[in-house]
Amino acid sequence: MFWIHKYGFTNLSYKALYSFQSIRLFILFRIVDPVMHYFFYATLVSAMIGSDYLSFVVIGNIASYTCHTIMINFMTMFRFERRYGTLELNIASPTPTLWIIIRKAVVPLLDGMFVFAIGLLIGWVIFGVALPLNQIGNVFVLFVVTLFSILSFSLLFACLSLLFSNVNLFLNLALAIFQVFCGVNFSVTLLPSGLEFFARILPLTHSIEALRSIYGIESFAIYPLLGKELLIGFCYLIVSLLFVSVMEKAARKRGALLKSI
Amino acid sequence: MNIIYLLVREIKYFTNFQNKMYQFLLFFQPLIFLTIVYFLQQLRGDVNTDRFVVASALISMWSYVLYSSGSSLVSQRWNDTLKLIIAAPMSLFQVIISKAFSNSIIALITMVLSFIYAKFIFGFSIHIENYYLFYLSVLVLIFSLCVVGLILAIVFASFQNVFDYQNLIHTPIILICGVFIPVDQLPAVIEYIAYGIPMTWGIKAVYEAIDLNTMMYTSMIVSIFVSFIYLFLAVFIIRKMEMVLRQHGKWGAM
Repeated sequence: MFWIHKYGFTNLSYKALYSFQSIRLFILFRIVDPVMHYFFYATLVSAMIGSDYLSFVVIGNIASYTCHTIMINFMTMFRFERRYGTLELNIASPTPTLWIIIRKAVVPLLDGMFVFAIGLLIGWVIFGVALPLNQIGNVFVLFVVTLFSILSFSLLFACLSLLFSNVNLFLNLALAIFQVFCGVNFSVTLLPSGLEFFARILPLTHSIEALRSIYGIESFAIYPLLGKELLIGFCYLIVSLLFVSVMEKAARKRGALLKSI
Repeated sequence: MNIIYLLVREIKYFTNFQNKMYQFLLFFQPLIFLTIVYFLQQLRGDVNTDRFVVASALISMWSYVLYSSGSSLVSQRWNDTLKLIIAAPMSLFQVIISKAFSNSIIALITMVLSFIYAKFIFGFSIHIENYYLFYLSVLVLIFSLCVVGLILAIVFASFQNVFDYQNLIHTPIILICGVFIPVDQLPAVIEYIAYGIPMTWGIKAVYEAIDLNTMMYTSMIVSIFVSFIYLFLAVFIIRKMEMVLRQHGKWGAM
């Protein structure tokens, strides 16, 4: 990989903050674990309402697992930065904070890409959910839009996680909310109207509907859904940038970042 | 007396609201799973939800035992209390069994919570024909969970880095122990593996007790028998572990 600079910022961030440094761990947590996750929900659904609904759930969980991966990676990165006391240094450095975050986002992004691609492959090989070949272009567009909205949300989520002394509960609750409210296992139209509104302002909900439509499992217009997902992503990006900017100002003013927590 | 004191202390510590680590497993995980079950059953009207309400409880119980009992011994090293435990005037086995047992009792709390959520939040009706037999089967399950917790504690303490893989153990055990689908419907190889796990028989006994299946007594007896085999094995290994720790100060990951 000639384009990876050994002492480059991204590579050093990966070495310092990323959990899976060996091929074995990567295979176990990026191939075996997703397979188990898909099997769990596929078995639940098959046992409960029959195998007709299997592809619906597998597709939902492929998108959901990708989202989980990116969110966990982002949060872990921020968490480790705080634990090692380098978060303040990042903010105090002359490089703009946003630029630092963008460069750090490369690893979660690549990881998310891998998980999504391998998820589609697992769905095809193990669960027989074949990707219509004439839809590859649409899948690519969906992929880019979904990653953008998830990354934007993850940035806000990671910043918010700094407010909690123990982030495990916060993370688990957030992942569980995504699993329930983003239409991963059942359509969000089943939710009461208030909760459906909440579901539709979360990232991922529209992407999952679009992905199922690409696979012909649901019959929504794909591009309007992706447009909404993009808009939601922009909203989260703006809010998270505001949050980063407030954090940065507070840190520069006090010489510390959330030290009292 | 010491064991009872330890037991009470353990239960107090893990059910304390200040202990955020286990709050999700105890209080939120059953709620999340039941929500998914609630909406899925709307897709097909004739679903027998009893099995899935119990499944929700079983998943939470297993999750709790895995993450609490599994780390019960390794965490002593992280907290630097292992030396004190080894020097204490009670055997290592008594310490670990009290932890495994208290964790199984707390796992029972998640089962009760699951039923409360199912009944009062989601309006599921749970049809249990004979409550005494059901309670008996739950006790058998608790015993099997206690032994599984004990084994997990030994495994996590004996091998380097096994602790890192606990997330990978979580789902396969749910799938092969018959939580969703009866074990006899699984492929033969997996079926054999599943029957070697004491929890499988405990789970089978619980489901059979709900339906008053005549096989429930057999399942309970086999569950107790398999659990005792693992228990004796655990006693032997922990004694050996304690001896090695006293002599050399090292054992596996500790």
